[in-house]
Amino acid sequence: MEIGLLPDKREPMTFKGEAMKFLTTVATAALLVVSANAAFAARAYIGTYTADPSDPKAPASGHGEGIYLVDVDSATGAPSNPRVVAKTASPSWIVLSADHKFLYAVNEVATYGPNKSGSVTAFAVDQAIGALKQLNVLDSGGSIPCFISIDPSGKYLLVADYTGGAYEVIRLKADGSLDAATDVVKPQGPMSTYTAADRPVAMFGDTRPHGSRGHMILPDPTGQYIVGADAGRDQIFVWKLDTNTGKLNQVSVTHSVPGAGPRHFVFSHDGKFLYQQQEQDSKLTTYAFADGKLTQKGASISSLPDGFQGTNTTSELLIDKSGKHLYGANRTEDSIVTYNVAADGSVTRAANTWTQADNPRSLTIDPSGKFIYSLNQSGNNVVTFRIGPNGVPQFTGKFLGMGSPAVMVFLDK
Amino acid sequence: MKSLRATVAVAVLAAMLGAANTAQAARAYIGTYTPDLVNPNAYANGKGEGIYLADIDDATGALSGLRLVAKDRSPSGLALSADHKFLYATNEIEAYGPNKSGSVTAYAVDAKTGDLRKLNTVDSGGAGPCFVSIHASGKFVMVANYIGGSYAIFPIKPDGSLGEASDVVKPGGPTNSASAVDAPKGEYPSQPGRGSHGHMIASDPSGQYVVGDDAGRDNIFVWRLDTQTGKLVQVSVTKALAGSAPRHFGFSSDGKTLYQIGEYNDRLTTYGFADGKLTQKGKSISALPDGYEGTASASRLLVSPNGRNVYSDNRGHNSIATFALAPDGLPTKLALTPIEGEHPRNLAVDPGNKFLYSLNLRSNNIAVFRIQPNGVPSFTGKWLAVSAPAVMIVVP
Repeated sequence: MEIGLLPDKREPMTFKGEAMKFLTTVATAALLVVSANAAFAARAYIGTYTADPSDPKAPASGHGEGIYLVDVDSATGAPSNPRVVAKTASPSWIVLSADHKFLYAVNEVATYGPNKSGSVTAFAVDQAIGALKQLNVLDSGGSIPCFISIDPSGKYLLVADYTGGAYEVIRLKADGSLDAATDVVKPQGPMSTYTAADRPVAMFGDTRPHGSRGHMILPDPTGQYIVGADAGRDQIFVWKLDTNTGKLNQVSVTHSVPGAGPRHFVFSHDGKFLYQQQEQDSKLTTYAFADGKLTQKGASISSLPDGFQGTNTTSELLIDKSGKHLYGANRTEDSIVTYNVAADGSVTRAANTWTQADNPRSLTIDPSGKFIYSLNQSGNNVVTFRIGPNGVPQFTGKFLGMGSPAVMVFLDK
Repeated sequence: MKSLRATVAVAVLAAMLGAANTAQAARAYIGTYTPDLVNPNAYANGKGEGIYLADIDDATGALSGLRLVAKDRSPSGLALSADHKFLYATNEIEAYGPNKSGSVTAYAVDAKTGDLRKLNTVDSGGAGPCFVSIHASGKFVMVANYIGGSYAIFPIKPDGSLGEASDVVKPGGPTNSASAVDAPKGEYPSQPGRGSHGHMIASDPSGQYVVGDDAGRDNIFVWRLDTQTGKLVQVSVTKALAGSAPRHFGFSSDGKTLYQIGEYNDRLTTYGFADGKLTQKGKSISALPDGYEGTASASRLLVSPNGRNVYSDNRGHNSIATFALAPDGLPTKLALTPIEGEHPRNLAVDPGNKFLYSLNLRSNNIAVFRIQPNGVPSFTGKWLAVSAPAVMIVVP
């Protein structure tokens, strides 16, 4: 196929006479090229914060319109051509089923139903064109749900509710739709302190919550346990999920430094270590994970450059395919922090890379492991970085302007 | 024995020099946004407490010894009198007096300690005053009111305190478009149907003219100030690109060229300035990286004290743009430097042209940069935590 003819060498054209004829030829050829490209370009979904008409000043009120599909150039890593595939309220976290036939999104709202709850929406994925068909919507068990994952059995969705301070288990039907909530865990107890003793200078802490804040819920790599981070009461829960009843049974609770705000965590690929990113003190803590229990290893380390003074909150934490690097996001210091992981599971901070815009809400690594994306919620863009030989991201020069991006998931593996 | 005596002499001399250095060390006043209990969503709602003083290390540029010298409400604009005896601060509020106006506060400066003693406060002639400067005559303070959309003139009394406004200019006319055609993709207009927003007012280097930016109706005003009556007399009005929001400007050292940054399109426009009139020179140039998409809004524009560079701040992208100025006054973009924080509200350069400071409003810090020979700032690795820093002036 004569791909070389097009589309990079086009001259400016006018829509008249012969030029029009040529244009038709070009358009036909271009269509062919696009479909050929589509065969090797990866596609990704991006969830965004949408406008909250009831409270336009709310942190979760954004400029997005729902879930977008983008094409990702496999050579440059650049995403392009965003189009809305689902108009849904603030889908700030999304997850695909293992077979990529279904997509589940939280709706990070506090307006669903009589309880002013959040919701979860199920979609069927048309894998040929990436279109989404809404299946149904269910109460998320608490307001402002911000994270969703799928149990390894494939039978249950796991949801963390931030403001509602709850973790919900939802049973899935065979057709991918949401059946019913089988459990809602709502931790109780005394509130935590506002600020952590080891926080950066100029962390004010007055935005800290008063109760539990479910920020993440995820199965461990062995599939035996479910872990939940409570950024409000500074706890990490470990449960077992009874796949017959859909109930969470508590195995252990680990306390972080009071005020630390444990937010996102990742496991080493062998499941023996859990790395916990702490939102409020910008620290990373390493835990050994065995028999459903966490044991801290070494001192927590900072996600920030030496000597940093100012305000910062961390958001995302990822591990790369090799397991040798962790990537965290710093908000207001606005960087991607790279950590090196040693053979014994211990971590050191390697570099901080500027995100090129405000407020990185999350990070995504593409399936090839070559690129990492910063979803800059307040900068209203997605910025592409190439992962360098030493694991440190390098800015590619590519920006994609988008309203309030929150999460990105690749459809093509 | 002889060498010991010499050592002692050196030590004494060093101690004297040290003391001399301490006395002469540069200082900086830092104005901050303070809590707005009436309107927590106000831009000017911050966690500062007023005006702070910090010491500057002459060698490294680092800031230290931060102390509060005036509890004041959102002092987001500061101006120091030529003799350094008086400091004037805007109070960027909409709660002063029955008109829900802003205010301006005058301070006497203790030359030795840098402490401030409040003289008086007057109505600023409109809500949300965000910029203050002193007229070339030294006899008047000039204020731009953002929310109130006005410019006000205040006579300075012999004791440094302020009289009531001698003039308040409030441009009228139709509201303007919400965004510029050349704004980056991903920029979301925040204020559709804007009225006037006074964003800056300052004398030109000749002292003959006063220039004012209207970021709401996209106008640049040139006035003469009648120093007998304290009234502004209009000389010209220049239309900037619709929706571009002219925010801050600076003059070339010879006063023949004016550099104008547009807040909403984040572009630098160059004007020839003669006889009180502006004539655009060349095309405007973007202060952002090539291919930038996303939110960006320019804030501060500064011409370097040595006259060789223009600096501007990109909020959203969180960078400082450095432009080199050619002998004909035309700028070319040299570099974009990350600010090492979020939301640069303002910039400051020391009079010696050695250091540049980025006031990062949302990360609550000031980052210190060394200015390289080509004018491009290079981060020193030094931050100072300051709550909601909005403005800084270096006192040599």
